[in-house]
Amino acid sequence: MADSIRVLLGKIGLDGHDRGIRMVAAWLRDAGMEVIYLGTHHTAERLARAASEEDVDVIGLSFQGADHIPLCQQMLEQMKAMGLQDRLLVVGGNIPRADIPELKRMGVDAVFPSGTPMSKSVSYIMENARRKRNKGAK
Amino acid sequence: MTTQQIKSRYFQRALRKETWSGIPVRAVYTPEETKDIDYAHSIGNPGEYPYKRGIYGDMYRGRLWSQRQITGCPTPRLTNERLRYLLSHGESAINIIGDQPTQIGIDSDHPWAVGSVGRVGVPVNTMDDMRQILDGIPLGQVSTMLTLVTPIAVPSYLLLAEEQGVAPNDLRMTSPMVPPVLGAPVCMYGGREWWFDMAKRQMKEFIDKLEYFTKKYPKVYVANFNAYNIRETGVGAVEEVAWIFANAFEALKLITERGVDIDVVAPKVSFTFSVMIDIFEEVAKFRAARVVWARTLKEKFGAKDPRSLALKYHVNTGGIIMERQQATINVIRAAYAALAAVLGGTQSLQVASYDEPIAIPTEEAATLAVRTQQILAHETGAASVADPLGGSYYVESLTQQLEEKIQQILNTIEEKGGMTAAIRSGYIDREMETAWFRYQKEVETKQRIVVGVNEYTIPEEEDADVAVYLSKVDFALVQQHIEDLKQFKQRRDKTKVRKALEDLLRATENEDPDICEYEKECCKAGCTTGEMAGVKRMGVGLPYDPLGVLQYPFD
Repeated sequence: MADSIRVLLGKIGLDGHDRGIRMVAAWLRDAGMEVIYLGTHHTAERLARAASEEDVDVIGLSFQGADHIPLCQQMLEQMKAMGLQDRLLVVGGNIPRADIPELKRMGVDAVFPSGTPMSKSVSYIMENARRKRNKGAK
Repeated sequence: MTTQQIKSRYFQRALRKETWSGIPVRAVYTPEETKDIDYAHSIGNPGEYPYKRGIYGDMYRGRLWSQRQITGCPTPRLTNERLRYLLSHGESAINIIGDQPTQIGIDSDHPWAVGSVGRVGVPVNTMDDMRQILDGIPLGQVSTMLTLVTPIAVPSYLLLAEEQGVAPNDLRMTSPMVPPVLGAPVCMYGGREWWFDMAKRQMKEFIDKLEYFTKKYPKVYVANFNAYNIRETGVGAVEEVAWIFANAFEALKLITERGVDIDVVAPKVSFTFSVMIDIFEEVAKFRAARVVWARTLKEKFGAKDPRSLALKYHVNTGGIIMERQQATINVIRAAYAALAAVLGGTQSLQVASYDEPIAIPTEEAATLAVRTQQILAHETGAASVADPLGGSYYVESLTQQLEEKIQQILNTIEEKGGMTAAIRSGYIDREMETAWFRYQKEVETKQRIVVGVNEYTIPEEEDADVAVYLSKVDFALVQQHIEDLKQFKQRRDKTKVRKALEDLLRATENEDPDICEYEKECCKAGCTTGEMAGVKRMGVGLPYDPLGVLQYPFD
């Protein structure tokens, strides 16, 4: 596929810390991806709907409010309800290391806790953006 | 480790030729750089205009800075235990922060609160929650900062002090009651239209509260402007000061235009700054900030009272300098930042705990932070002499430079029509985005060395696990707190609640200058954070629920 990777970024729940996710948006754009950043204070349902309408390959969420487990659960449920299980779900933010296995078990594809080099997150998304979608298509 | 590596380590050089914020600096400073700075006119003694060297003549010999760690545990009870623990280990003042639902003005049982109750602060729904938080703490003796932006916090605090028999004159408290955009711009409000609207509409209430507190509670500072949030976005020292001053000046202009004497308002204004790890730049920043403040207040606002001219502030050591990798070394970063704050002459200090990039602090991490303050106060000698870096060729020269740069940005913002206009135009946002992008680029390309992050790294699996406070908390206690709230709402006298809320609504609509009295009545009647915040929103023509889910329950 030659067309650029489409990424939807946004924050769900009450946390308004947006420096991290806006920085990610800038770096992904810099890497040539098409980024739709929806801002803060969304419901999982609203983000999943937008992801579906925009037909994105990747959904990225960011958490600084220690509410990542219940909110990722909500997001995964909404993605399932809208048939988006083949999209890549990546999560960043202040996430204790001990919570990462739990998030992955739930179905989050990758977790980039704060302090992760941007180049690492960007190349992961680059390489894996359509992995699940392509698998589904075959 | 190769021979070559060891050899190159020996010949390592200081690579950075600019300050943390990116201001170029020379290898050496001499009297040449300071020869035009006149001591009497531009510097002056500590305690004297323009207060470059500090706002008190004897500085910390008169009184040490307040040592207050920001505290907010998952329930009011746990928060009270932590506060008492810190006080018993020598903390000299307290600082309480709410969880996300509380800060946004909704109750713990709101549908959007799921998963965030008690996660990054304490849930405060009712006056009883405040009672539990402050249980056993003598409010006449302690100095309190309420980083609790809920309409229930301050009035409950006043009532509880009354219950303890504390005279209003003895109450020492600071709270950021400044309308949102003006008080804590950009960060967390995302330039949303309704925040601008809210700020405009709340201005009268803010002025009324200023007057109310000035008259009734002379040591309560309700106008705390938050620059910490600005700096935490990754912008430089100059922007931090210039942007928050632009906010404060805009608020002061609006207030004085309404006929309030500047010397009534200005002594009530205080700030919360951040402090990063570049010691000399931070010292220069605080010195420059005091001068810009004093000169502007005197020359532009015509203030005469020395209390108006003296810049008072609290400092939080920076959160963004704290790194997840090898997290224990954050203790050292926070200590250097704290040293900078004290050398810069702060009145109050919070030292971030080393686990800040992971979660709210464990007791052990919080204790280390308090001990950091105590070592600084009693062992380092930093507190013995006022403005110990004054007269340094480098620091004086850098102070002068920062002063000029702050003034330049203030002029730019003024040309744009003030801070609200500057935020609206997207200027502030663009500056922020450029700054943090540049910062991250510098880290990724090693133009900026961050120990443990891009140099002196260790494999992730070898990095020791840091204890996570939240993982040790029994969240059944939080669930119980939510259940208790639901039961409380059923149990309370609904007629009384309804009347108190309706009175508050009318008082807000009528812009009643004694709004605080109505808020107190609400607290006594058993109204909640969400209800009080809700009717206050309704009073200025906004929906009851900021998230658009709930309706006013008493219609």
